[in-house]
Amino acid sequence: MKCREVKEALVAYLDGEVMPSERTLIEAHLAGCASCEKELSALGSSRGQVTDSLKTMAAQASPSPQAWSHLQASIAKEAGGAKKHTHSLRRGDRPMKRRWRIALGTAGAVVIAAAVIAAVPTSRAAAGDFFAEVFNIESGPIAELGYLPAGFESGPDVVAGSASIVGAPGEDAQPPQQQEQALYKNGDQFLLVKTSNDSGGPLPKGQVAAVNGQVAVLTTGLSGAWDGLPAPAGGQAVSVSGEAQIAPAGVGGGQLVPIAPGAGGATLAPASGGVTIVPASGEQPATIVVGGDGSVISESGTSVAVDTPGGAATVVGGTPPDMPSITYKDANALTWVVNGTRVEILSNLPVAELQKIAEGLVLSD
Amino acid sequence: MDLVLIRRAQAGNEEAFGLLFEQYKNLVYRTVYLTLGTAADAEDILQEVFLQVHRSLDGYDPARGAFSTWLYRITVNRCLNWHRSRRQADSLEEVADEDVASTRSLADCYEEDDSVRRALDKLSRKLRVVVILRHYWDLSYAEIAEIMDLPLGTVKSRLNLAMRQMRDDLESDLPCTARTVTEA
Repeated sequence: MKCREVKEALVAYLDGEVMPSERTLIEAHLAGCASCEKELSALGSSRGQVTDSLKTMAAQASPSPQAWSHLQASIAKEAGGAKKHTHSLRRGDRPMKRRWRIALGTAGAVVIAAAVIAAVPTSRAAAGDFFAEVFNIESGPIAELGYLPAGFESGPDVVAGSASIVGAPGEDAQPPQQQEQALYKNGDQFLLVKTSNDSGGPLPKGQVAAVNGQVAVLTTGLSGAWDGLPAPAGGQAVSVSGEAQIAPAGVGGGQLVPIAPGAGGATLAPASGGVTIVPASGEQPATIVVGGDGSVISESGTSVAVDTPGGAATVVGGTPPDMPSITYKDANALTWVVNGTRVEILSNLPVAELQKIAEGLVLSD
Repeated sequence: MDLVLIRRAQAGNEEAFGLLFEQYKNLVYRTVYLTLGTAADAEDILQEVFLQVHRSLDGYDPARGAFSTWLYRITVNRCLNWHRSRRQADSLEEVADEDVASTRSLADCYEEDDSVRRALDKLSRKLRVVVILRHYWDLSYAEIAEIMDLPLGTVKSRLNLAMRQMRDDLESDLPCTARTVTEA
């Protein structure tokens, strides 16, 4: 190794972060190079000084005794807002979040696509894990913004989410496809954050940019309209093999409640503003309607065995209603892929603000 | 134990969430304090981070990574964006300048009489964070890469740059404003 290469590797060498083969080469070089040996000694000395000082500084640093009580107060304040919000849901007002859990038991070719106004889970787990962990549409947003320009509320005006599961649990299953679109508004200004766990497909054509070191594409002068997520494909009733368990909010604290499956299978049918479970025969009729409009949801948990011939099936959760539409012109967009998540930020804010928002985005995953 | 606490907190048990807070508050607070250098910022970000954790806990899946990794990631992102969200009128260039140079005054530097603090403050925040994760929390390069969503090679180059800069500064102990470093 040459001196330059060795000196470049000395910090990692001191940290024990070089490969054994590289370590051998470095040590062989050090044995015959006074200059590199001196550099190693200096780096080692400053490294020790840094470590010791950081420990000394941190030892004096502790949260205030009131930190927990302050946090509790903030949580209570947020919960107060959430309760008020839940109340508005029950009155049929615009929903923001919906707890909807579905688990599918045994293997079978399954497609479920749901569009709701909700936050969607961040998981990129394989479909098998996804099934096992329960399809939980309220588990949190894909991304949160660390920076928003003045005037915008810290939370989005509306979040549209969808998730689809294609394939059966098991090795051949495809990962669930999830996407989320969060709209923030401040008067005439808008900010639309689109996230999807589908990182495939080319980035749009535009100027090459960067977001936190990731290649991004900036497109400017955009015009168009946005009116929420497109409804998932399909719409016909179901063919699902296995057992479906659904526990709406309010049942067992929102946890999945396993209930003995009914006999004779059932149909998950698209309905106006929701999905209705219709047992095949002799069972209590539809016990849950999960709303596109969120206004109707069963207060009792239910579980329905669905047993239909194989083949793909689709359940469509209705059309999200009451979605504010945006018509824009001269808008800018930044698109990039980070950690398997495709992100697009579209806004009529200046490009510099867009860049700041993009760099402040925190993936929840 | 953590998993039990997390599961209970996810189920809405506030006592379990309180125990999580107790267990991890220093991780957050000290990371922020060492990165930004003020107790007030550390206190504020501690609140913000745990509020975000409380909101997002349902979305945390232990199978996808340690709780501490998740917490470090949220904390680091808050630190990196901290002044940006409070200086909204600044231009991007000004923010970039702020990001690569110490925000402390020269007088502040000398009042502390702490050469390592001064050397640390002259690093960009992105360099500062990797130094703290490595040399205070003793995390591996791979763990830092996961937290910061960076390639391993970038972590390596950032630490190399940061430690060389600190070595130079500690040897000369120049005033804070003498030099700034851009990230790798």
